[in-house]
Amino acid sequence: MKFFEGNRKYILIFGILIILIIWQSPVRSFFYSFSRPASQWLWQRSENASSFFTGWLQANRLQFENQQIKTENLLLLSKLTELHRLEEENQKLREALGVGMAESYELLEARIFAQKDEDVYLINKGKQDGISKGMPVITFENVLVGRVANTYQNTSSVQLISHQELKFSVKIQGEEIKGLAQGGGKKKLSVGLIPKEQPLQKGQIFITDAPKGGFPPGLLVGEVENIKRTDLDAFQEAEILPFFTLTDYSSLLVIVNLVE
Amino acid sequence: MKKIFIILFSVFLIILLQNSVFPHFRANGSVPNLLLIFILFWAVLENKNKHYSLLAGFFCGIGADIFSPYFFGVFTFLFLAYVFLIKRMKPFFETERVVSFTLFWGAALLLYYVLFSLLSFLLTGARVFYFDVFGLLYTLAIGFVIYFLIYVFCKTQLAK
Repeated sequence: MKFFEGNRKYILIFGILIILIIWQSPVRSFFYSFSRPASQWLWQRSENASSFFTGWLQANRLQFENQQIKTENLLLLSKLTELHRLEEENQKLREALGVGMAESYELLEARIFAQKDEDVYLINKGKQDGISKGMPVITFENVLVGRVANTYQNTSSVQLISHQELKFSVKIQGEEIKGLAQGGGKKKLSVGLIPKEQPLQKGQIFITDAPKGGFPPGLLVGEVENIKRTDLDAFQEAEILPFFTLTDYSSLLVIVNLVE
Repeated sequence: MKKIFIILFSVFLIILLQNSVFPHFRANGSVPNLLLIFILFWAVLENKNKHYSLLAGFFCGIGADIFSPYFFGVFTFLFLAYVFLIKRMKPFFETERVVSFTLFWGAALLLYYVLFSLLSFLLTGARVFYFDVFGLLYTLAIGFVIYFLIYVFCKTQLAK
């Protein structure tokens, strides 16, 4: 009895910790919900402040990038015109063959409000909004961001594709070069298991390819930044610059109803 | 009781800053560890006979656990052990002098990385020394700013 009286504070702390360990999921859920309004407000304000400072500090580089983007934009415009022509042609063929349009997926908009870990973010939609574990998360530009790792009452955590636990099938856009993308942590991504005889080049674009990973095919993943080849390995590996790092991924879309 | 609420409120604010503000202000991909700065200052500035820094370590640990991918309680244990060691380490340094404070601050941050790596090895078996140079420098820089602010404004208040 004397022991309990003398060590009351420590017993109390130990007790609180045990309770928190037992109810860790509700505790996390409660804290995320409770702190969400303030977190969201701070996230948006600091994002604006950060953009302002970045613009101010990197004015020269931005000017150069702007020029590059303008050139790239012109190229893309010409490709877009070509795509419109193909789309019309495709539509006519579908009508002629009596085939309906491919079904798209159901999307739910969400916003990031806090960073949980280097490759894990918290979004403001949870179980009550119909989010469940494993759902793919993309940007408005159809760029793959990650997947829902955990869901809470009105928040969820999203693992970025650069998270070490994530592996999924990818292929080079417009070609049959396939590989397995794997997160390397700290926003790094690599693609392995690409046969050495396949011609891989810097700047080529990887898109998702069913079936491994649970992501719908055709989502933009990233571009080849570096290629690693050794004489002894049967496969080559590519370091990828994930596209989500180039876009504003504060506003996201969760694919809630993936139609296979 | 008032101090406990101050600590709780401060920890809440720090968690918000750590997870919603500083991810936008990275230095070479690293962010400062604000929770660590907070408990270090409590441990350094409080009287030898007071133990509020342990409480600060406990709350910061819970805060870190809420956002951590590890099992709940890992950071609570880590921060409590850390504060305990820092309080033992403090008498060897004259933390009121800038040079001595720098040495203490550097040693304290290194100790954190050693403890974290050790705990990570015990939990996952990963033999990695988690040492983030930019994170350390960033934490050090923020620490210095706070050091001067505290010494200018409220050192005597905190030591009460």
